[in-house]
Amino acid sequence: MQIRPRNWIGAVPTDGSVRLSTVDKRTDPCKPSIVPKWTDVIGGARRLADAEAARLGAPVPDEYGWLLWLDARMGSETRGDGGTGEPPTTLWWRSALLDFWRSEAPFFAAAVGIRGTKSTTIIKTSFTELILRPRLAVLDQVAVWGVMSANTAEANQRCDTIGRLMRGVGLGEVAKAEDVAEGRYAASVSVATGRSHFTTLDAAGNKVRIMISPPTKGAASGWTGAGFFADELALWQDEKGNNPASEVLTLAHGRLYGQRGAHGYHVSVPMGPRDPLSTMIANAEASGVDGLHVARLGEIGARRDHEARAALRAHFQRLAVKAPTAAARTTAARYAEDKRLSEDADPAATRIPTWAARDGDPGEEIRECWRLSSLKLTSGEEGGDPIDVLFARYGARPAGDVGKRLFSPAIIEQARAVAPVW
Amino acid sequence: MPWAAIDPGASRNACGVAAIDRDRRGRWAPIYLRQIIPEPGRPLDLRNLLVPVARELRALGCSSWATDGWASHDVLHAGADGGIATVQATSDLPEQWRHVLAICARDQHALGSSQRVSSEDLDALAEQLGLVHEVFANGRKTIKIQEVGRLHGDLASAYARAFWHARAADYQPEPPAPRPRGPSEYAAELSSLVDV
Repeated sequence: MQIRPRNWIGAVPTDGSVRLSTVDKRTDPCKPSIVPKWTDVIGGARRLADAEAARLGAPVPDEYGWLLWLDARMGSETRGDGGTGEPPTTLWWRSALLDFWRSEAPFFAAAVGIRGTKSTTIIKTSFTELILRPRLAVLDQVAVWGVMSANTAEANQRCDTIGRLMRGVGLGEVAKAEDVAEGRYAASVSVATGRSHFTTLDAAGNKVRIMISPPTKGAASGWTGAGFFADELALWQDEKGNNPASEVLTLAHGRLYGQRGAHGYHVSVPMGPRDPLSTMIANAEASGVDGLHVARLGEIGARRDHEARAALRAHFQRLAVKAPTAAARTTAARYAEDKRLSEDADPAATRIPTWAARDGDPGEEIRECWRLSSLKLTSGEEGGDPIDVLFARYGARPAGDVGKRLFSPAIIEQARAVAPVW
Repeated sequence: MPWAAIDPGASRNACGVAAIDRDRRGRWAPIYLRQIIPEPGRPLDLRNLLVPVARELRALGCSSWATDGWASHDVLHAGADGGIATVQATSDLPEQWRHVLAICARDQHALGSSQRVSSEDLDALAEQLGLVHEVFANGRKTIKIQEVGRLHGDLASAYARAFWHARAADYQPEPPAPRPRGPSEYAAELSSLVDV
């Protein structure tokens, strides 16, 4: 009888069922000294969570401790290129996820601006939840964490992050999924189909898998769900150009049944008031369902958002006086008066700007976003005003229903000037 | 040949009806515009209301009108009572609006004062066209008309649907009629047919 190892030490079964000969011992990065012992990891993560709970004066769930452990591990680890460790999860994301895990809701939704560290953060927590959460595996079923993104190419980009995490915590790669043992993982990356797998063992020795795929009903069917991550939900497209989220997510949500504590994460930059993520959030807000936890700006995000917008407004006010040309001064004065720059930040807001979600100086963050938004690429009133682009792209506030006007006043005036001759 | 369309509504939406035709210079213009706005608490009785409208359109030379799927049973029967057929329009809004947009782009759109349509109706149509936006929703571009009070752009919707019904963007004028033949050509043709 094969005994499932309980941790990474003593990972090699003695019955020969796992062939480690595929690993090159000379270049194997999975050195015993850096392979984590998961029982120790779980204990250490709990101590981190307890310390945080004492600091906050409120209970902190296990998942938060796991994320703190991963941040510590990846931060202290040195890259192969001699670089320093990975930056930790940002303050806003930690607070948003802590609120989610405390809510005990199975599903999480966050509408965050572009480059708001969405994918990286959720992949990190997906990784820790997949490996460290206790689960019941019936008949050795493989617990799968589904990761879906906008399309084949976008989904494959998540492979880089997951591979980095696997190697970063000390797992060594083997060639085939059937060769996976403790301390090892197998990757099957298919650029052509977009379906890629990372297989390893969880802390209890059960085989677990991260499955990356484009958003199709087929990919959302047939697996035992340890959890899933719907990335860039508002940008999903099927072959007809429609967003298949409602059908795909209906299947994906159902996969989590029977997996106690499993979570589903829905994250995207919002594209309009009627994209699937915005609809999901609006419906949850209207009906008050307890299954979906919607990420909010919170006190931390509201403070950062306020500081950022105040800094940008001050920047425009300076330009309105000191800009070298009259046109630039007029434009800057108009931007300085934009009400979106002066309104109060709402901690209950569900649209999370990039500058609130990231760490770093909020004023610097928003100024970089502005520099990247300030090109007007189209002419006339049909083109987006740069400040609208800033708030749509990075502020997670798309113009929505007031999109591009199809009949400009000039076009209508031109038609009104022509009388038909009957 | 004129082309008609209807955007039916009964309680929350108004009911818009439009018909278009080409003038003598080949430009497209409305020949019939009507917007019936329901009073709060009194929904429109489409089955009876649309019969005289269908008869008026029939009198203008329309043989059919295009509609969406809403209240299709009432529209079908009212059209039949009024003597015109009912055509189901495409549900693809960008395709529906493509035709009127193409006509605008080709400068073949005449919304000026006309003997056939009142200036108030033309003003209402122009105002509603100004509220038409292309938005990104559900992963693709679609058309949305900004709502103003109880008006939801129903007249503009019917107007665009009439252009779709005419397939105006793809419209090819009929080739000119063949030149009448002279007596000598006719005689030559006759002689070719008869063995003399």
